[in-house]
Amino acid sequence: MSVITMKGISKSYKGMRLFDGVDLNIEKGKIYGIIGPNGSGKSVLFKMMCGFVFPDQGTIEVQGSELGKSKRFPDGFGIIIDRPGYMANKTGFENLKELAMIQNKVDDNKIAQTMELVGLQPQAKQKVKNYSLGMKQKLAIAQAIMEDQQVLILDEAFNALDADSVENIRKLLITYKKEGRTILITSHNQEDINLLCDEVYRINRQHLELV
Amino acid sequence: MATIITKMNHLLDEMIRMKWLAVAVVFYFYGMMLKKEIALSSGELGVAFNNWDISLRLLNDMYLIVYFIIPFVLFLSSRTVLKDFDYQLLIRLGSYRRWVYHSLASFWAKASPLFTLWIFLSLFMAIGFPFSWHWSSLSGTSYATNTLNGLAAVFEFPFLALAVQVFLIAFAFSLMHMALGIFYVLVQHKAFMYLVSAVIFLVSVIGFKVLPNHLAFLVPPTYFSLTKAVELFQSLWLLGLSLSIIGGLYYLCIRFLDVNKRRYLSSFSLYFPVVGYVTLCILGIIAVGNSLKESDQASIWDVWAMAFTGVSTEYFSYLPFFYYIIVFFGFVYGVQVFLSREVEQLGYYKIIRFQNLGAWMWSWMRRLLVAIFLFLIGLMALALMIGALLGRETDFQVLMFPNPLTEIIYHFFFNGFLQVALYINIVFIVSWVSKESIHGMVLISIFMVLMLPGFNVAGLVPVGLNGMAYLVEYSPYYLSLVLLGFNLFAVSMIHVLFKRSLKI
Repeated sequence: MSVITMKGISKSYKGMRLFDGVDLNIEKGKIYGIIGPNGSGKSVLFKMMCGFVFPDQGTIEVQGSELGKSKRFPDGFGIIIDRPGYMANKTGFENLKELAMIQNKVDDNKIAQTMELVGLQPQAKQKVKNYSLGMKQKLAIAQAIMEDQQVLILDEAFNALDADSVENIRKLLITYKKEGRTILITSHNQEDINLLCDEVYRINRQHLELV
Repeated sequence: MATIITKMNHLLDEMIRMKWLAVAVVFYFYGMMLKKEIALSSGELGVAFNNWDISLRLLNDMYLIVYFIIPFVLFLSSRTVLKDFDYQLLIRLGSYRRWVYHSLASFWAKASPLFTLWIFLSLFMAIGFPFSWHWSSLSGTSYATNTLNGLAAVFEFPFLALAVQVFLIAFAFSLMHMALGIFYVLVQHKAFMYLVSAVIFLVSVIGFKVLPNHLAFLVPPTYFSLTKAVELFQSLWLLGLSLSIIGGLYYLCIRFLDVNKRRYLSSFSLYFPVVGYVTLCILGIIAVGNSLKESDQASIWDVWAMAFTGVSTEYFSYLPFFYYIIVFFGFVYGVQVFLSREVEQLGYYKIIRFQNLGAWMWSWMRRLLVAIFLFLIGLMALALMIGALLGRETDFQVLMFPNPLTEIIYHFFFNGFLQVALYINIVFIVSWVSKESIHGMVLISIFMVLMLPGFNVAGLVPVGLNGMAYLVEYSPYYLSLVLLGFNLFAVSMIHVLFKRSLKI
């Protein structure tokens, strides 16, 4: 079953041609890896899937709805794109709570459980401004999964994580895949891609090539 | 209930922070300065003042608004926008539309201390002034530094003015933030947003000093100050209507934010010139209508006649000159675009079916003649409607011209019809002879030059003769004869051209 369908996508971003007539079909329950050199357009591809930017040409359908017609941003997506912004003077829990309150889908217990799942302490009074890079990354992962999102779009999710945490998150993603969730990741670490992904696409000369 | 108490506590905590105490000090000292000025004026004029003089003056003071409130609001607003524009937030909100409203709520959480302090200090400064529920004698007196006499004329009770002022400030705060939010969604560039904030500030500073009162609706501070808004719009209804229109435009903008605009841009670009043209026509009439407000007796017919004054050799002014160019040559340009399609692109295919050049020309010319008539009716209806909205008299009379109104109506319609028809005939002749659209533009430029002073001494150059300015020197019937003669000449030329050349 198709979750995301991209047809004939062309996109230039900040004066650079990134994609030219790209087609891509993302199936439910699989982990996809997108690889490519810096500036090749991995983040832009993810932003297009989320509706943050529109393609110059072509259409993107998510769960049967074309983005920009009846819907702007798709439902049930957990994302890490760019550096997430946090309220530096609040704790990690308070930051997640703030986000959770928008849709009111999860309670405090669920937020706390998610924090523990990624290796953060929900009761800690430490403010985010005092977090290490790795802790901030864990917080980013926590917000992407805390509402049981069915599609995860994770741009460089393993950045700044220590080896144990990387192992922990890998296991988590594999569990989610088994539950039927769809996951798209980018990583500069080939090992992450090899271990996790069912299909890997490389961005090469404005096209996506199946590796 | 618990949430409200928590929010109130949060607001109080926030207000005792250093930055808000500094803001309170600014309000306090500015208020003290105004108090001294009020007491001094009261002594000089020998009239009484009361609490409303200081409270409403502090809330309406343009210098405070332009140099303190607006930069502060812009600062808070741009900070909120940048902080809130986060992909994690966006994906949960589901659309940019909801993000704008979410961001507005965040902005108010940050701006409420400023809003509360301003209102609180305005009321607090009244301590020591005599209290009354009514306007003071000083409020109603017209003198250089009093800004409240306009309000005293419109509102029976000052507390009503205070309520409307508070609403206006809240509305203006919200509009300013939403403008920045919408802009940021569209460009998503921090530097551009700072640039726009700087431009808004500069337009506010320059606009409130330099722009004449009838153009004050273009500058943001007008919507922060009730005294300024009442001075501009003259009526609360018109102010309400303007705010509703602005609110409506924002609503439409926000609704449009999530749509993939690329697919609509091509169709929008087709209508953009028409929308721009109609907007300019309306703005011109509004400017004329506002300029006539000094004359109490001016009627809606004066607004209409003055809007289409045009220029003559004796009477020349740049604003009527440019307005005539926009309205009439803008229309002729539209016709020229239509003609280039009709002559250059469809000519062959249509003429072969009509098998007669005269019948072919009449097939579209009759539509154009009806369009001219509807165009003139539309202009007149628009001017009368705007005149009425601006509160001008509805009497069937014109004060600004010596001619009877019936003669002016005759001139506008009959001579207007002949003049525009002549422009179209000439444009057609040029299109037919040259087959180049650009020559039509050159022709319109020549028309513009011929309207400048010194070219039309005897009223015999058939350009701009439908302007009301010609009625000062010439009889409308003389102008009709001139225009009829030139039209007949143009039609004869077309006839000759058709006979001489059947090739397109």
